[in-house]
Amino acid sequence: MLALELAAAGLAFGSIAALSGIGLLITYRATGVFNLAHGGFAMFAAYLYFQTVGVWGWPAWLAAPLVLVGAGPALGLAAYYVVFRPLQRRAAAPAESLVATLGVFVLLVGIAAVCWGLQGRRAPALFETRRLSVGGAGVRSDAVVNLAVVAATLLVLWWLTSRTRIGVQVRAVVTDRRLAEMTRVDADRVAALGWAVGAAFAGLTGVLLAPQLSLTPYGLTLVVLETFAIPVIARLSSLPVAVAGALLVGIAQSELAQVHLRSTDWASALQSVQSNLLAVVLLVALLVLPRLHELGGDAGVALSLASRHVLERSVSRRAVERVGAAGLLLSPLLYPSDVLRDAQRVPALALVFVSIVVLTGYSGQVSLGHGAYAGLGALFFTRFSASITELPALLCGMVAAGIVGLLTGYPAIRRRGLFLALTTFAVGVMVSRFVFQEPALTSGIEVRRPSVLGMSLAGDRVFYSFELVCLALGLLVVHNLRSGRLGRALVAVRDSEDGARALGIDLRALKVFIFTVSAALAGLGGGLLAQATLAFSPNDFDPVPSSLFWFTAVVVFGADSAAGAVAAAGLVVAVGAVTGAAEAAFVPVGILALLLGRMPGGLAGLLRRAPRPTAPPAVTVPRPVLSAAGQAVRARLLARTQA
Amino acid sequence: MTVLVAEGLVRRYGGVAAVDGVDLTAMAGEVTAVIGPNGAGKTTLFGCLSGTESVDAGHVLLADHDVTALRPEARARLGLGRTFQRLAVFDTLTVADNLLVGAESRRPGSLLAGLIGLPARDTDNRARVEQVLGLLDLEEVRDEPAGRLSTGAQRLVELGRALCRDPKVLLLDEPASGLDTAETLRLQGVLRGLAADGIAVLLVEHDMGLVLAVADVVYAMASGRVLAVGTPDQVRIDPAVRAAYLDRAPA
Repeated sequence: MLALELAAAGLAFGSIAALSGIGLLITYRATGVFNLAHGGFAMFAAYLYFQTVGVWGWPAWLAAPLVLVGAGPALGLAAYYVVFRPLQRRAAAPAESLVATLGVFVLLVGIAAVCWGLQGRRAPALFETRRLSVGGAGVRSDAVVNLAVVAATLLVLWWLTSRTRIGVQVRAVVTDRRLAEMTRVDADRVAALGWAVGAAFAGLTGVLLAPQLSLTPYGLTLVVLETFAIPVIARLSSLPVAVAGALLVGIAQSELAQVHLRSTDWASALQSVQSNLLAVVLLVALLVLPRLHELGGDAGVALSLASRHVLERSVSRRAVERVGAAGLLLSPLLYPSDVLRDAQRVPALALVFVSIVVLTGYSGQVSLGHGAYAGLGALFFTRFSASITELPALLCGMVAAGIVGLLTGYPAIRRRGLFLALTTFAVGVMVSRFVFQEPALTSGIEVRRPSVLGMSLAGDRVFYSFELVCLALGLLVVHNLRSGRLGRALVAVRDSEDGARALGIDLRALKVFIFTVSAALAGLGGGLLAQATLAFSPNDFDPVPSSLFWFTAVVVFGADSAAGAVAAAGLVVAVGAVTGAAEAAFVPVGILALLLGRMPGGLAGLLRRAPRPTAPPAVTVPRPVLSAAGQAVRARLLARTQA
Repeated sequence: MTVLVAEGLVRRYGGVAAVDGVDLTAMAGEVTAVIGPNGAGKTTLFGCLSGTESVDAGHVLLADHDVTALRPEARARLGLGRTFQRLAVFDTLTVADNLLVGAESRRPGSLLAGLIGLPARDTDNRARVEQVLGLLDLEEVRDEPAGRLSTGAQRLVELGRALCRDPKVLLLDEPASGLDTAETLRLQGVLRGLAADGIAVLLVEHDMGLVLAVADVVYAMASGRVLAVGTPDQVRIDPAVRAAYLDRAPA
């Protein structure tokens, strides 16, 4: 009987995950964009519901439709018309759309964090939960309601896709957008619909989920992002598989609660798995599945994020840039000590950002999990420094992060584009959930600053200087990766994997090598970050404010610009320091990310006044004006597709 | 000397055999051409030889090594150079650097040495690049990013890049497509020169003028099979080949 009750309880969460998965799949199938902002939509709708019902005291019957049917779809439509439609018009690379979704995400999280703060809120429930008795077993009413919503959704979607004209049009657009446009299917309308409906489901997910958790800008968002597992199980194609998978995960999560193990270690491990089952499923599915049914072919490498400039630039200009940058970085040494303490985060964060440049800008691999390496660097450093002195501990932390990078970089060899992005994201989430959020591993940590050759670096000025030395060494490594033989080979692989392979270049070795170097640099940055703040705070390395935000910031400033990465670190820290809230930096970064479509190569690309991109100019397909004969043919074609 | 041998190669897609029991040899010092109508299986055959396509049956021997199971990069290291029908130049690198990557790939470099910035002694690599730039008349555009060149010039860059690696056998996938008449004539001379240097040149080509002018041996393919092998003149008058090209069943 207990198993049955648990299964029913699991269905409550499983059906929420299913709703989230349905929303993601609808947007993806109708527009070809995997909406990383889905979690942002969900979180934002949950806050709107909280604000209207919880703060203003509106009745639920008024607020619920306003939020779910009004605000949710409106958010999706706004995202489509402001951001994604222009990208789609100029046939932007999938990687650009992916970053644009991150921009929307970062902006929404930033606005929510600024408006409502980071503290947890108690969100009002959509409806009261009662206990019902079904055949003697106690079942929560929310499970029944959620399940009914899922079933109704599936029914409506089935009817729409198989029985209506819009369903046929969606299928046509999914199969081949251009061909569909030629038969005068309004692909615009289909895409707008995809965004509106997807966002509506995101909103429903957020409002249903929020009362079960503490409502925070990061926490709720991350849980919704973990439901990426659902479309991934369905390999981005089948709705029924997604729903079945979500319900099964929900049930499994519930049932695992009654498994008791004797060994306390294993029991706590099992408990971690049980409470983070979605994240586990996401990673395992990504590692096990040979491929996803990606639309628009391969989502490509991050090539389109880089400014694609030619390596050599004028020597004098480079010198000016370098002197200017060095001056800016040295200036905090003259600041009063409270400002200097804020500035200490800059070189550390810059190293982390530069590590993303190395991976994404130089070798074209997306990573949405770099917070994990930075956090591991910090954690390893603090752990090692308990037994050895701090400087070797810092190096050991860096090496350890590198080794983790080596291990996690291995699966990356065969993955590209969206698949790679999701896999790295899943790695980041797993490390955060299973390592950083594990009190046994992270509590009671005392961070001390190192001493070099008998000289203590505890003072703020001398520590900042030490950080600058580390950053300089990091930038030297980066310079070597950009120039000479190794740099050429990397660019070659980024530009054409086939071409590089035909020359006998060992792509696997090169990719794993770069992943390792990047993780080690991130680890060093993370270690310094912990020393700068004299604390290891797990929340600093939460995937939302670290991995996802950092990646967006780096791309905004120029994915292949080390100088851009340093500037990005400066801006992020400065905005945080001036406003007194670190999350305030999300807003400008998010806005800039939305403008990326108009500035290829990010801010660095703008400043470089880069030569025009070498890719052929994107072609927008004009709506064909059909002759009378053409219209007759089209009418026949349409009649046939509907038959 | 035989450099590249294909024995009974078969490659199926579903039920269709795109390459159906092809035997082929490419000799050092000779230009071997593969011709055939669209869908004859030429490009698939090329993929099987260079390792981008897996093989359902048969063997590929490269300089007496059985390379059937090897990946493209391993075959390249054994001396197989190739160009692509769909261009695969390194867009953002200059023409000279494209070639330099080819020359440098002859000897594997240490990744760690590169990371800490040890200078590489690459004078012979640069010398090789200069030589090939001269051979292909690419000196004028040496500092241009390769992605900004015309299709014809990009084909030459690909060819040069492969040459810098000192290949034993060179697979060229439609090297003349996108080239103007003067460039094609120039290519003819280059290909003959390469063969004279002892390289086995194997090309897939639509331009019959080029094939007839440079090839020593021609393989005519249709529906995944080799219809005829011989000198250009022999193949040109072969009735089965004529029938295949005129899209009639052979008599």
